[in-house]
Amino acid sequence: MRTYQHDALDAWRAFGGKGVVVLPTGAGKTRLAIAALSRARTSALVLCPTRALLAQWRRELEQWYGGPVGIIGDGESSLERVTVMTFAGAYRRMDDLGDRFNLVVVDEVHHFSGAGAGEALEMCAAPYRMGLTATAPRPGSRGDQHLCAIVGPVVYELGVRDLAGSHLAPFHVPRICVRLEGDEADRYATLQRPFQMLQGAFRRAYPRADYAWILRAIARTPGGLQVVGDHHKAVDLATFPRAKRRMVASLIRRHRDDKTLVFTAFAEHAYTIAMDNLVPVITAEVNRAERDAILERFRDGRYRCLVSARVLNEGVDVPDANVAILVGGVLGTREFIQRVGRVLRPAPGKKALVYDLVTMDTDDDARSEARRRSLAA
Amino acid sequence: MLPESCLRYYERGDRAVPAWLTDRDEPWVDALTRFYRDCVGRTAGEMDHALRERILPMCLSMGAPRRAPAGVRHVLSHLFPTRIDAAARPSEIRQTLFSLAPACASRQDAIDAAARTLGIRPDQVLAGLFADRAPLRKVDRCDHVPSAREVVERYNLALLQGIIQRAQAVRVRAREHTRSVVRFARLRKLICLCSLDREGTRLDMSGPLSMFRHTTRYGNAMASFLPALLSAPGWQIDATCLLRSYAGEPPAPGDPYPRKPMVVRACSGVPIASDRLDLPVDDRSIERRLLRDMRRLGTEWEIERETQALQVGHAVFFPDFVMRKGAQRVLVELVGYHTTSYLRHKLRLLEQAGVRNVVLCVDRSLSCDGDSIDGAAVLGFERRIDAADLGALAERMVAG
Repeated sequence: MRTYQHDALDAWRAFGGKGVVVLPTGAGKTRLAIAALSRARTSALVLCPTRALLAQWRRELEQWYGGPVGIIGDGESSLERVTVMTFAGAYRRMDDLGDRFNLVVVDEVHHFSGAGAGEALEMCAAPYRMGLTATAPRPGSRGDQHLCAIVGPVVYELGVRDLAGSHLAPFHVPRICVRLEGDEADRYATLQRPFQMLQGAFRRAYPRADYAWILRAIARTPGGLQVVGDHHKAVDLATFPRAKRRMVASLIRRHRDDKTLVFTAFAEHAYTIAMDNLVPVITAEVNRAERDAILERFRDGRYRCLVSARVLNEGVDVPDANVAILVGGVLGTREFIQRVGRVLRPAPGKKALVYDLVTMDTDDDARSEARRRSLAA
Repeated sequence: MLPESCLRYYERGDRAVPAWLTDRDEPWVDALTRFYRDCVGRTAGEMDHALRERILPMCLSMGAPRRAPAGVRHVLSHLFPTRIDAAARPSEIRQTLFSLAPACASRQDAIDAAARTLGIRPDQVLAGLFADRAPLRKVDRCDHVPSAREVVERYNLALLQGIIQRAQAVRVRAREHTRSVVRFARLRKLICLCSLDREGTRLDMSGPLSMFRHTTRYGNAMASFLPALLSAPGWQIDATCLLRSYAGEPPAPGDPYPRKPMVVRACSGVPIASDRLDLPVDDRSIERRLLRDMRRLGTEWEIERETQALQVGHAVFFPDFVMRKGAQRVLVELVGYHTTSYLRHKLRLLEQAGVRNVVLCVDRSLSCDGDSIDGAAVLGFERRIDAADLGALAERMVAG
């Protein structure tokens, strides 16, 4: 175990075996949990969001934990002293199994920060709880309070910057700015103006409302559906204008000898890039067998570039890469940190490059600024 | 079955009246149907774009009620399926092209190389690359293009199915063909209690929203039962459904409209699609399998399909089989979806009436509350009824 992992474990124990540990992707959260598990010497349940992570947990536990590992999910149902379960399995089975474990480890625990999402954990009687995430909810937010109630407070936190260069690969995030072309800029302004006016009015009337709430509220005004529809078109335009399309092609060519991950905001953009550059694409539409085959080929080097919208953000065991091209993202800082983390697995002599493509004078610019501030923080 | 966003009903206090389409709606429904027919051969993405930008607004301008065109579109999308149009399997094209591309000098070289490997033309490589994506699938021909009237009837059926999907309790009546209606409900393994009252035969059924488990599957089973019921003359449904209330004080701007229980009544006379009731209504495979197992065991019990209803007070039972050995008879009822309270109620009725020769064969995998009950008259099974256990239970029953 690394020093920071020891510190995290001590902090968790100091808080009575309850709490959330925040570490960047690739920093060894799984190892930390296994260490907690072996020290506790008690029955334990590991919850994870996807089948891919279920398989990953099983591999790690079989390697480091001596006994049999139970699996509930992905068509299996075997209960052991140490059992791994998907979130979906937990929703179905926790009422039966919630009293059988003393320790529950929740991977990607931020999924439980929503008000309705914590039921499975509320039905679990485990006195010891460890949450793992790279992106904890904002301190003091409702999500943070909810996680604090069902798992515990954040007991240890390190950011990407804290480990880059030592336990994570050093990285550089060049910002590449592009502009909308004449017709695109006109269209963007036309589509976005009504939304901005209404958004401003709602923000003044409801200062504490979040973006999703305001979007729903605008949709309910007369003609609001049209305004929201136009806003989506404007966002679509700003996140992937012609200039970005050309820039992505140029970057993929430049890094044809590197292993490159391209992240887009929407699936359509990923397919456009795949078609332009003849690179494989992974989106929610790609079935599991094909996705696994693509990842395998990327892992062994037959594919050098992979493009995805949101599927690879988390929950999938993505092979190591050293270049990431962030074409667009609309899910905020959490998505950004997850994407950056995808290229930070350390290797001798490795220096990761994360290109952040930004369309100036649009909402894309503002979102990019917020992302960079979060990374610096 | 229409999704919640497409459900239309008028609220009258705590009642909801389904907003049926009628012959007045046929002009715009006809325009929408003709549009689908003209889209055969085009991609689903092109069709969706045209629908959003042009056709749905046109329907509204022709007097279509808000949300109704979206519902009709939902119905038509099931009638006009889509297909993959590619010279080779798209996944194979992708794998070949993406494997060859890194070694090729240009994009066109890669496409040409992939075409040679796959034995297709270069233009077919790009055309088929993502042809399995939903927006790129081609709209297929419909065997029988429905008339506007038929589409209206199908829409009304889908509307009723969508509403009943959100039911907590359903009460069904039919003036005629009651036995067939009950058989259909049993075939779909629905939880139903049949009884007689002054107005005739009545079926009390649990709604999907009263289930702890199998809610969606049970809802689908109920939806597939409805077309059969609706072909029975004089049908009537009364259901308590959890529906969004759009009346009264609107919620805060960004909050959704609340759901509240509303009583929905629908009865014959509505233009609505239905199935014929003379379709086979029994699952004969279970009977055949049981008979085969019984013969293999060499027991003296014979199995016949029971056709006589059994009246117990006001309640009516419809056994599935009768097991005979000489003059001795044991009635067998197959129970699909169930809850413990439902089984207890059935057993209590039988006990109160002193009926001691009925076995309930309960499919344990269809428990809607995760619990099970045992009893002298209950035989649990999963997938297959154990003929030996059933024979032994029947022996104990006739021995008293």
